[in-house]
Amino acid sequence: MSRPHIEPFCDRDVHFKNMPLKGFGIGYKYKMLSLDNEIGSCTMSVQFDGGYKQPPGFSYSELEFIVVEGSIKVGDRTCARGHYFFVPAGYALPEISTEQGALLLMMYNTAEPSHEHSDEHHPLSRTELYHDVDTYGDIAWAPGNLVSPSVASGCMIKLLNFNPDTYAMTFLYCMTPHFHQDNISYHDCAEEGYHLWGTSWMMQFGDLPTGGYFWRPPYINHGAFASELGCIAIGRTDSKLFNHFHYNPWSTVDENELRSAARLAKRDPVLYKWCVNNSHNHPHGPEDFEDTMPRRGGAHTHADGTTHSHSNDDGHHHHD
Amino acid sequence: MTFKNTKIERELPDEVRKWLEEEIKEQDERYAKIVAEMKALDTTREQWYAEFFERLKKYGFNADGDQRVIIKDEELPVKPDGDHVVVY
Repeated sequence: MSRPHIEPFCDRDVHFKNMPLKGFGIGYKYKMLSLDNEIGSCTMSVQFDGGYKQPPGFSYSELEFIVVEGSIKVGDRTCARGHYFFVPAGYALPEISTEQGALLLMMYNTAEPSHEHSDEHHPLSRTELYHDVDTYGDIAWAPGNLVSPSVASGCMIKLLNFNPDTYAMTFLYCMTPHFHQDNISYHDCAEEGYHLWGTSWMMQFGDLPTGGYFWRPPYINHGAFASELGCIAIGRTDSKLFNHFHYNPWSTVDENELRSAARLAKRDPVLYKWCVNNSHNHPHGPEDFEDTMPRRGGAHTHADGTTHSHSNDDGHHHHD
Repeated sequence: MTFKNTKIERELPDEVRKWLEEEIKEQDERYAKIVAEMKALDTTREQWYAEFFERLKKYGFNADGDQRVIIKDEELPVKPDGDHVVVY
């Protein structure tokens, strides 16, 4: 993952461009918010012009999107603002159309945008992972204290998508009017946010208004936080969100990363010692026996739906 | 972001490679603009930091949720020498 630190950025400050890639058709316009320059995954504000129709088809990338303004028809279903979709790679959506036009936030997670016309799912698609929901109408706001230490009261969330292996998540969050939180935070994960409505303030970056966006790599200070009139936004992380709170505005990314490791050493000293002493350098991380142990049924299924079998005789080594 | 890590490999068409190159170039320009804008905010940000410290001394630091801990003046950090950056 190599998206640069884009913060703050407001999509209202730039113009839409026509999408030139094949498959999207005429009337699909976009503003690039952030882009991984290695694999092409990206987040875009997208405008469907009135009358736009996208034929049935799938993306080679995993895709998430939410309707920001207006409404779209997905097949024969009308989906208004706040409707969220998680679409696995290769999952063929029916025709998408809009009469009056719509604004959407499109997040291509694993590759560049693509739309292959097809009435059928790709044979490799993990179709069981697809889900969509009316986030405004069908999910209640929950307190933001899902994690500890937690945000101050007045910041609430709606969980939209969760990866049980990595704890990566997609969520709506809101701040009530006059919300404030006097600490500085950083995380061990990358974090992304887009303001659907309203303005929030962060001590490093100033105001983030409607259409405001950030892609923040790990260990970067953000906060204190405030919102005078309140705001609602969509947020994502690429792994577990842990709030490392402090009050030193001048700490650097390197210092924050070291502090995270130091806190791990204090909290889980035995595990930390094992990691350090074994210099475990396997690119996929240490082995989890639940992923590799022989099973009566042969190939096994992960919690996230992936299915495969393992063997340890493929010649790769774990230690140098 | 790889939330479920689903991806289907394909041969990348030339038009897509060209599009990606253009987008990466534009992103580099956006990034440079953000860095400059945040640099221009330095003086204002220093004032925000000073106000933050005053609130920590008066109302406290949000240690967890609404639990606030008063920070004494002598506990506050000293500004280090050198450039301070907020965009990495």
